[in-house]
Amino acid sequence: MIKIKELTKVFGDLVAVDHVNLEVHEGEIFGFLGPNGAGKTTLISIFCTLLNPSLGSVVVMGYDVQEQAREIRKSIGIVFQDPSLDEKLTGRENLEISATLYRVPKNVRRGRIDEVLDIVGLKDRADSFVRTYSMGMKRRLEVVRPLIHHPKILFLDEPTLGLDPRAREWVWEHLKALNQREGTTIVLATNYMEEAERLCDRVGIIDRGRMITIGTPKRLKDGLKGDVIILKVKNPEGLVDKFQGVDFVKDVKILDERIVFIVENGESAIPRIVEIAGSDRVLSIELHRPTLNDVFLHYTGRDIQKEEKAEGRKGKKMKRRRMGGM
Amino acid sequence: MSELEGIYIIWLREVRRYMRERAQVFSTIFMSLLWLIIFGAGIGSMRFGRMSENYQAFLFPGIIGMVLLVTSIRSGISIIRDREFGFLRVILIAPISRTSIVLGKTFGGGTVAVFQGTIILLLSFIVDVSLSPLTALYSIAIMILMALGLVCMGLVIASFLESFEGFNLIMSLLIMPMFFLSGALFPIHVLPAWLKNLTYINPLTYGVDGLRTTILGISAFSLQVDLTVLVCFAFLMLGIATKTFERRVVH
Repeated sequence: MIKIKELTKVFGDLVAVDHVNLEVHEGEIFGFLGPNGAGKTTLISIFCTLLNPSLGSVVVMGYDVQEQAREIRKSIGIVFQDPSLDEKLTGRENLEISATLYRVPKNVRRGRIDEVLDIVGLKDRADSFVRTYSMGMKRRLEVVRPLIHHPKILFLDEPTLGLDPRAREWVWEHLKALNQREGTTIVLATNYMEEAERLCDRVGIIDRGRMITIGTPKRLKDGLKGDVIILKVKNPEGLVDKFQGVDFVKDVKILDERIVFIVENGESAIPRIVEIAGSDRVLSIELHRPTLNDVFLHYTGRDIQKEEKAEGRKGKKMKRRRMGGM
Repeated sequence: MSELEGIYIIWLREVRRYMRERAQVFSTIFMSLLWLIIFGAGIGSMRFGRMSENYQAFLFPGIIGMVLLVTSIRSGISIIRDREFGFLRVILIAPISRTSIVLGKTFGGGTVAVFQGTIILLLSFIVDVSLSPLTALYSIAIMILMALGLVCMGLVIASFLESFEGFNLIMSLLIMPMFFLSGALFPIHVLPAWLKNLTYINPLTYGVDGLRTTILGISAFSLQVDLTVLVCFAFLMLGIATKTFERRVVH
């Protein structure tokens, strides 16, 4: 469905996407998981023909993104990370614009709009101005807007950002249903682990423009071959060296005040870790099965949720460049 | 034909948004009346120069020109708002050509500007100018030509501005000089040579002159000259707008 070869995108001296290779299959839900600023929005913008690659090639449904953008645009839908509704128009008018621009035949247009409004439960508010909608209503409308022209591929950039748990649940269910019912290929960018785990058939973990690893959520987690133990101690720095080379410890990293271990057998490792650390220094200890966050930590030594600040500083202009100048 | 429908829906959006901005409609009318009634009466009573006719009537086509100038450029620049609020992306990723987007925006902004201008035109009785339906029709035709060029000019300016706050800067650096140097407020022949030359290179001059020809029968240039300049200006700006739009969007 999407073939990506050696894709690279450079803005000035910033390498936003660095030699990414990937193939997204027809009918799958693929997720790019990574911290903010990892290059996810840039990737999606390139797939949607909003940005041209600096190097490498992207072929979507057999069409080259640079040469045949028009063909691609006809059959894709996109949900942006930032709001993109015209708030001075009504919900129905917003959908009318999309339906017309995507050439939904006139005789079925009204029916499709009603259908989509029905899915999001906005039928009785369809003729109110969008600016009177709640945050959740706006987001729901944005998420279903591309469905109006039955796209073959649906791209979503942080589809549930800022939504409350109930609305998030709703979005996930509908995306899953759409994928199963219509066979729509779905490509999404997210920094919610839970979103990637719940929704995606395959996940590509991405950091600083590089694709670190690709696989099903289960395979990525199983790939760690062990359990995760988080140990809170006083002065963790001095302690880490003691664990290097200990036979049952597969990986050990410091994260803020904590030491994170990957061990073969969590239950039996706890007493031995406490013993090595010295029981009087241990503040708390926690054991869990690996999550995608642990996978990210394992490969990068950083926490996926903790990268939020880097983005804010670069500001709006940088963001706009990643979205294709607009 | 779907390109036409695309142009139509972008046009419709502009018109719908305008219809809901009552405050802007009324403030433009109010500002025009201030110019016509207060400024017009004040300057008119001074009876300066060789101007024997009613100054308020002389000013009338000039004020229509001003309304078209401000409204058109504001419409063109409003594309920055679409960018800020993310809506422009929705249009940009749709399977519609860049030219159609520019045309939709231009026709939409043009419709709005001509509508505003027509409201002022219909208020001609205030300054004792009588309008025949034919005169009104000719005037509207000239307004359409003016609006097309000016909206596109707004679109071009928009591609150099970061945010809508820049509109005030454009207002004082571009719109006001264009207005003052268009023959809207005083006849061109009384101006010193250096100002006269600046007036000649201002496309608005030919719009105001064209309107003055149809409404009052007073002119500095022949109507053919006015129309030729306006048509050329409209096509030139449309061309530049399409080009800049493409370049700014596709990297």
